[in-house]
Amino acid sequence: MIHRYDTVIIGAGLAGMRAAIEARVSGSCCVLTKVFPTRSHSGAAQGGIAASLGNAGEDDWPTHMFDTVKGSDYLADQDAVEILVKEAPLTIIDLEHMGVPFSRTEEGLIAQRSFGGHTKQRACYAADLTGHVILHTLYEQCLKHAIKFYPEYLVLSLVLADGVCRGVVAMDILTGDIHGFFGRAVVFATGGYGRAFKITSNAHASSGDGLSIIYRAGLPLEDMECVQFHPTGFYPSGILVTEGARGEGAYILNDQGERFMKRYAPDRMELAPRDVTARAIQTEIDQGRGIGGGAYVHLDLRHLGEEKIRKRLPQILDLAMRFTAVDALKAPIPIQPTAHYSMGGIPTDIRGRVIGDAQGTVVPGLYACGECACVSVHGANRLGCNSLLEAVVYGARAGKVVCEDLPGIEWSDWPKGAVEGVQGEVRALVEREGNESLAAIRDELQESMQKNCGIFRSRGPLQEQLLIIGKLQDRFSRARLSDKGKRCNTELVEILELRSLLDFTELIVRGALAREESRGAHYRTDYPKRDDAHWLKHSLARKGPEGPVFDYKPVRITRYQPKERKY
Amino acid sequence: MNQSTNKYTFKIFRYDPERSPRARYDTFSLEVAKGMTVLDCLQAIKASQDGTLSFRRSCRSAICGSCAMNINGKNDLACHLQVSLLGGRTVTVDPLPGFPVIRDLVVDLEEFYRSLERVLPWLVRSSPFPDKELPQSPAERDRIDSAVNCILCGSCTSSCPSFWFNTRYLAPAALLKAYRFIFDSRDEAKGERLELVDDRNGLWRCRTIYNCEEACPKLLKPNEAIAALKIEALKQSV
Amino acid sequence: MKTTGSWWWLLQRLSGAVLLVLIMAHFVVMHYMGFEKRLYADVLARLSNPLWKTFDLIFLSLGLSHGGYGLWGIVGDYCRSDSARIIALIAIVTAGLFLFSLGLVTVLTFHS
Repeated sequence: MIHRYDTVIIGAGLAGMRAAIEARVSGSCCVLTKVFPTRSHSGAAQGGIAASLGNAGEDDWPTHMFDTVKGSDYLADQDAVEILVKEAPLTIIDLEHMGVPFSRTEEGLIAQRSFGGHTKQRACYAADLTGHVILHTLYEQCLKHAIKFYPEYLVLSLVLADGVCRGVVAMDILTGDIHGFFGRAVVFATGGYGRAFKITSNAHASSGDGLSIIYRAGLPLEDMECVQFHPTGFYPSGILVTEGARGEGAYILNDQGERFMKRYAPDRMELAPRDVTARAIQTEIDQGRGIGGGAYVHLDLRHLGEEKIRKRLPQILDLAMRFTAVDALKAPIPIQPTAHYSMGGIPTDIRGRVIGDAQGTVVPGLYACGECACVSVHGANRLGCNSLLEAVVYGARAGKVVCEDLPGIEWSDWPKGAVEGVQGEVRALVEREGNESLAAIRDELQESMQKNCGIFRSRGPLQEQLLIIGKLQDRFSRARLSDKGKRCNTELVEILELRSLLDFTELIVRGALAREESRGAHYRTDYPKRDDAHWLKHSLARKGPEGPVFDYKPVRITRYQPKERKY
Repeated sequence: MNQSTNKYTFKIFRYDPERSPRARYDTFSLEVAKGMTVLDCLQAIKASQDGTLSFRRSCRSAICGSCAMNINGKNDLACHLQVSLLGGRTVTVDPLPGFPVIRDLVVDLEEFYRSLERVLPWLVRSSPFPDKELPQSPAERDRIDSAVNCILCGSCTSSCPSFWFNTRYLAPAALLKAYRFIFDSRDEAKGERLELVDDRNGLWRCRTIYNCEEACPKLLKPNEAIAALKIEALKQSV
Repeated sequence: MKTTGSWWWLLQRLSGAVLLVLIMAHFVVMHYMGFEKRLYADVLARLSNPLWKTFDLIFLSLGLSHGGYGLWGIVGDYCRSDSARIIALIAIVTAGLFLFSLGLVTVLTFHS
């Protein structure tokens, strides 16, 4: 079955739904999403969304811009950052007018708290459920505008013909039927890939499917080696503890009860950017100063007082009890760094149009926004609260650009056999005989990625990881499904997700191996210094006949020349 | 970490109309490590014992609401419930009651989502917007705090006997959504929304059974929201 | 279908509260105030008393309306089709009116 929409949006998180609200204006529009919209992982964002509103002390966009560029270790494209921070205040006001229930100051303004790497109090929040309330509000707006959703549809491939995007092929998970979605404009907003790692704050659904689809279609992916580890995940699950906790004043303590951040970032302490803080925690753990010598340290909220904790961090209080059996009012929470965010992704220009090479050639009809995209506003390390902001600002931009572009895009032909090809592929996967277990391959991949391509990287383990991925890819070809049914075959979904993981983890590792320097979240123990002379550039990886091929493109620097990064 | 392990029996509801029109229970035996949640166990069973077991899951941190199911007779999120806290060595897992079952633990929530759409679930204002945020005091914001924290997991509606009798009933989740806007100081469609819930299948179908309060995994109180709505509807008709 | 649910809801609560008091009074009078020694004359005297007549009339009307509305609520829970609802409504109202007139006749005409 082929559906026709002017705009086909993939992903119903903040970016996808924000894009839909704009794109609906100029024609029919639908949103395909793997999980029901309100179950998207944007909802798990806790701490806040950044904007220089100045509700809690003076602030302005150049300061926000500088913090973001410095946070990115100068790998961010500054024209893109400028748009992000300039549009931030109006974007927040716009969200508020849509109904987002932000927490308030006594004067009735949107409340703002401190966050890592931001030198001003600019995180607008709703307790520790900021992503959740924005996600639900955007869903409500989509209902208001009667946007057509296809929930629980897993997109399987991109339909490109003559270099022009024609749509996608997707599977209705509940029925198992394969559908074609023919669109003049296709917007990818498919989120991140934290599931490549064993310890992650990400949802099971965050398996980077969108990135893998783009890669398999022969288009490049940018800066895949830049993976953010959040300093504070619950131990042992890796579930997120918001940076907002530290924004409110929480301490990180080692086994000796020492606020060790003073040795790593004396000025910013616990509110240093995430790469710095995560490395500090990992160093303490590696050097035996984890609690009781274990693989975790403590996050102490107690001095904040019961009222503040209950009011500002209610979710953390609940999650700490449920996942670590710790009453955060009475005891410190065990925490460890956790894979959190992918700075890299589908390369786009500042209008959200996907680019197909290092020269910036646009792929007609194809757009990307949110975590799956790489504009790049985060460079090598994202600041907290900038991801929700990027999703909303660039989601809206992508939607608006689609509206501008649509009149110039003609309906072309739907390539014959596009759906049938995918149907055959899926059938082959389901019917395949073999003796390998999908879960075993996935576990090995996640564990080895954690070990060999985590916070600290070096040549040896990275090379070993490449071999492991190669072996796992080979084993994958013999992985067998026990579920041969069509209806709600969740095992089939899992194997398709695993296929994605195996595709792009190779790019992360190869990218990390190539980038012989340390920048932001990418840290090479064998190259501990940043190397602007050679590596102030974005990597682009595309599928070649014999594996990934790398290319590079320059960073756009407008206002702030790179200098030493200290906190 | 303490690695003391224990064997548990999982009795899981199975239904796949593609294979058999009849539902059944399958039993699985699983070694449960300390700290494992019901969802962890379901995943372990799916990974190593029966790949055909179907259930929804995503965030596994109690915010997306995908894995709401009936565990030992109570609706809850599988992801935030530690097996060791359940008491007993047998864990019975059923799909959310009151909804049609698609397969195993996956239920059809289409009607549930449609019910939300019946209460005008978005902020409505006819007066012009200022350039800045609409003012709202912390006290006004507090009024809707529990309602905005709802994750739409469906546990409350699924536990409501009034909903079991009559699936056209708006039921707790949609009424909580109505409350979220009716009591939002920025909203201007209070009257219209009250008329929508003052319906044959609306507010008055609530029999104050309070199952919803017991079922809510986020400890919200839809029953209190419904009570407030009743008073508000009464005030409006005076 | 639009309802005036709030008034009925309020009435149901108020009648419930009043009925609670009346039932207690009824219960105490009938079962704990020398019931076993009571003669026909005592009953006659009580039913001739205008205060008791008023009591019984209120009791009668509130009890029937409360019960009738309760039944109607149950019909609303289970009945989907409009025709079934209308039939049930007619049955409830007819039964209510019948019982009310029966009660009315008894209370008003019972005298020595």
